Amino acid sequence: MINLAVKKHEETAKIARIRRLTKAVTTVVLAGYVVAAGGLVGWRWWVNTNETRVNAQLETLLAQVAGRASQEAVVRKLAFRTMVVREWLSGREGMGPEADFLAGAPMVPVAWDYDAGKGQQTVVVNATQVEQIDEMVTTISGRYQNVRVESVVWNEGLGWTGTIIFGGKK
Amino acid sequence: MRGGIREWLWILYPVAVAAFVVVSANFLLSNQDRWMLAIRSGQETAQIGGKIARIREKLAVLETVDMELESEDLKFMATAVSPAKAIWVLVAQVKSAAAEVGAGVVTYRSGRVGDVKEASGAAQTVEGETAMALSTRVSVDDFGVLGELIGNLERRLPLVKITKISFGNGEAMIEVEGAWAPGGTQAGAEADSPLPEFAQSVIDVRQSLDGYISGVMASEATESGETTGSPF
Repeated sequence: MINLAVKKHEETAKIARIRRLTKAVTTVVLAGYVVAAGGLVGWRWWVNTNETRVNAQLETLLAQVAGRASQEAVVRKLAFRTMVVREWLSGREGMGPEADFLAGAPMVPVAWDYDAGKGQQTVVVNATQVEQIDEMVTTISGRYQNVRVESVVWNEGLGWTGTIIFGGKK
Repeated sequence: MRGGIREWLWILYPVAVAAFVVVSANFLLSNQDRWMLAIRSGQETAQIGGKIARIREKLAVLETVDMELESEDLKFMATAVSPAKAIWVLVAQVKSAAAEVGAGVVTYRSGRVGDVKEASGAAQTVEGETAMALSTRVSVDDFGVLGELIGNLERRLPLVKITKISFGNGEAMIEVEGAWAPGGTQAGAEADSPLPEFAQSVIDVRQSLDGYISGVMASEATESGETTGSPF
């Protein structure tokens, strides 16, 4: 009799433990599910609301950009034309300073040839002494590459005539 | 017996929760297309956010644009490098530069239209060639005058490039190339496409061209490429 009472008490305690555990697990699962589902629904609501807001914002900004189309056109044109001018300037070999240099050289050329395609210049100078041609070559060598004397000719009555060929600037 | 059933009533709680989870999850996830749409929409919204940031940046720049000033700059750039070929502008420049240093232009010749000695419709524009070149024969007394002429020519707008010089016996044959470049209208740009950098470039170019002479004829080459009048 006593044994039966003890056995029943043990069973009741076991069921009570299972009940408590099941209830606790169920509560945790329910809470987790409610949080997850709530988050999911909330996220979807946020996505919808955000999409509407962002689209409205975009439309407003697009309208503002369209309202400034003339400014944009001017800016784009200006940027392009400025780039074109820069390219032109950078691709130009200024010959004014070269002419100034030769005009200030010990012997002023009596003839001058320049060809941008060949990147070569030729000057002809008249001198009374051949040393003057040497001096001219030295002066030109200070500024240009590949300087060479093509010819030095003595002409009765004219003196020495020197032809000097040189390349690009150093 | 009744006491036994009561003891097991607690099972209804997990069963009810399980039923609730299954039914509500089924309801939530039943329309998968709408969830996919929401995911895509979220991604698109993020992209639109980036687009909005770019447009805002662009608007901030556009709001600072002084139309009067930039139009003036644009006109200046179009004067420096003409948007259309106008050989007579080049001819006028050479003549003007030569006259200023006391040199005389003997002849000038363009690559396509032949000798250009008198005013003619053919002399006004040259089409279909890449470079706008002009070969001119100038009478110059000495090398100093030639140097002045070249310097004078190179400090004029529209810009010119001297490609050949042949000087001797009181004459110089000078080949010049006039600056021209078509285009500049970039139509159809996206609303969020960023604006090109221009402010500093304009300042740099203006500084580079400070002191350049804008010829009377050159100023008549308008930004749209139209030319007016004749130098002859």
